[in-house]
Amino acid sequence: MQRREPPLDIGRTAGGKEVSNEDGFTGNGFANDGYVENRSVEKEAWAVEQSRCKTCFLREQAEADHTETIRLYVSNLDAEMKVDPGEYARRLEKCGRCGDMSQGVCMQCGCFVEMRAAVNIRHCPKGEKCW
Amino acid sequence: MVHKLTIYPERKKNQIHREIYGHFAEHLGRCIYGGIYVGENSDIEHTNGMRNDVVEALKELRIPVLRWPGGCFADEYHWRDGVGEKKSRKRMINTHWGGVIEDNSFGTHEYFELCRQLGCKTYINGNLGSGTVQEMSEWVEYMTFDGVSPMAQWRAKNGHEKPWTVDFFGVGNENWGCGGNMTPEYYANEYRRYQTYVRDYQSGRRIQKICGGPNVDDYVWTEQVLRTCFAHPRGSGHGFMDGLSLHYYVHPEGWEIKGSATDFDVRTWYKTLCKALYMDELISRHGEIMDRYDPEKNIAMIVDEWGTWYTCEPGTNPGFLYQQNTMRDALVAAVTLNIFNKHSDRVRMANLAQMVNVLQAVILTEGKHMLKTPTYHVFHMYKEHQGGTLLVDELDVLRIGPDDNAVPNLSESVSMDRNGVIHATIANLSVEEGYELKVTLAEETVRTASAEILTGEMNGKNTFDEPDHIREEAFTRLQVISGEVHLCLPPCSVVSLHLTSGEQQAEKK
Repeated sequence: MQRREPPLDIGRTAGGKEVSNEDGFTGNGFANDGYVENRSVEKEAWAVEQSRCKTCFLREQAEADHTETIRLYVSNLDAEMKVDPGEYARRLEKCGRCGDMSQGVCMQCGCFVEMRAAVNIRHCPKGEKCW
Repeated sequence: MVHKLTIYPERKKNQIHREIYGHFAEHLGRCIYGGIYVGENSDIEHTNGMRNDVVEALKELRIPVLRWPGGCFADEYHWRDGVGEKKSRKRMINTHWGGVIEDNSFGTHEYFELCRQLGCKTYINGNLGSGTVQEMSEWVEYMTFDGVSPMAQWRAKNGHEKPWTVDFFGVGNENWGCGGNMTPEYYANEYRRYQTYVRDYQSGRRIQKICGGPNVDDYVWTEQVLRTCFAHPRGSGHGFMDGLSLHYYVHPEGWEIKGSATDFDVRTWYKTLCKALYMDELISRHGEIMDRYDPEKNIAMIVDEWGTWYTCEPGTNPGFLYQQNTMRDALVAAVTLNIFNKHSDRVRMANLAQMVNVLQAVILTEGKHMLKTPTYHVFHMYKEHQGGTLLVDELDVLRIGPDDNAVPNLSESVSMDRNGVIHATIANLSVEEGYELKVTLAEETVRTASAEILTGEMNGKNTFDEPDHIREEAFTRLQVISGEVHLCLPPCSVVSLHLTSGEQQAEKK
């Protein structure tokens, strides 16, 4: 499979119309930090963690376009599809303590957690008792 | 109009190699991690870290071979990072796919354990793009040497005293692109050098070496790689290779904006299938070039990446290439596998991209949940072709769909298994029209007939809330009348038909 940068307009429909709700979202080009050269495993792990904290949400990472992507996605959700702010915060608090989140992505489902958690009919892929 | 399919049981062609029904698993998104391998400490039921539900489902497909670890990932993969104590394995960022941390907990030992559980052949793709000859050579030694050697001793120290069997070894991947951006001549010379040190250490067993072939319609690549590999009087009769790869993906609306996996119209349906059918021309034209160098067809064409590629599911990491799977994918799989069967004198392996959670996957997972996609069911319905003998057949078809993306209304392939049972797989590409079909055996009569069907609305899919919305079912709309089979193919359907022949006229089944 040929490696390509994720297209900037990944959230557009085939007709080129930009969508910003459940139908899609505007993606981003990931700034790939690459392999981190260090002499020891411990140092490598440390360097990786420094460059990409596994428990960071997207909003806490350097790429500004992540933040904008989330903001647009959540703000454009229909009101009846969106969880209330309290529930949103509760969900993200649980995600933040979950070992399955990596760079804001849930490794159980592949979703950006800040997007998935905003939708009321969605639940944690590990089970509804979580959220 | 009644369509007629005539099968010639006595006009036997070549064997359909089982490996045409092969799969591909890359370190990409949630294919390996989460989709197949959950680790030894997971709450999800597993055996040595492999999900039991996924392995059991895959075993039902009789997976013949699994390609690993890439893909583009292969040409950045350094195998030593993935052996030894897990806690001391290197952690790095998967720069190709999604930018998430790769902890190397799935490595060489885990791959062979997975293949052991699946009961499939092994296809390792080595690193030519950023690895050394020594690294590749020592990986082969690590995996296959049975005796006293540094690599064999290291393998034993890491918990596996006996060597494994490597059936196929790919020497680089997409070296025209992510595997080093090489010219065909440069790659071919590198291929000749690297493959020299992919040694056979086990008597009676040869590692089948696969040379990196073209992307889609790059016929210049095929020609120049073969010319270079066949040059020089010391060159082997088969250009130092047992296989030459070909990669081709179907993205309905083009590379930049590929289009939704589930939200599409009838026009896009036909456009997608038209693009899938292009595989036939690609195999034919690359095959013509191969025929010039290898008229005896000693070199296999290995379509080791194929399938649909859409815009990722909304809200998911674009680098994970996670997409849904509909009846459209089922039809793409059906017509493509029929094409492979018909070209199986040259195409002797193919690997769907990819096995779980990535691109046209046969299985999707979310946490502990798993579902079988429509593509899964096609592979299940086609499994009887594995190892069978291709039979000559004739089918009259109509051209349907828009003029710029017209397709035949029906697609088929036919084989006979070792017990003499005839298996025909037939796809109806029409969204709206059903067709009556009469199936006859030349100079013989049908004694018994049975069939399975997969059908549904064109964008019908399985979800974690409704995992069996699209599923294979027994097909009862067929009759055996006067030694012929009459059936009605619903629109948007795939049928697997099983026939036995005999002198006796059959009663209505």
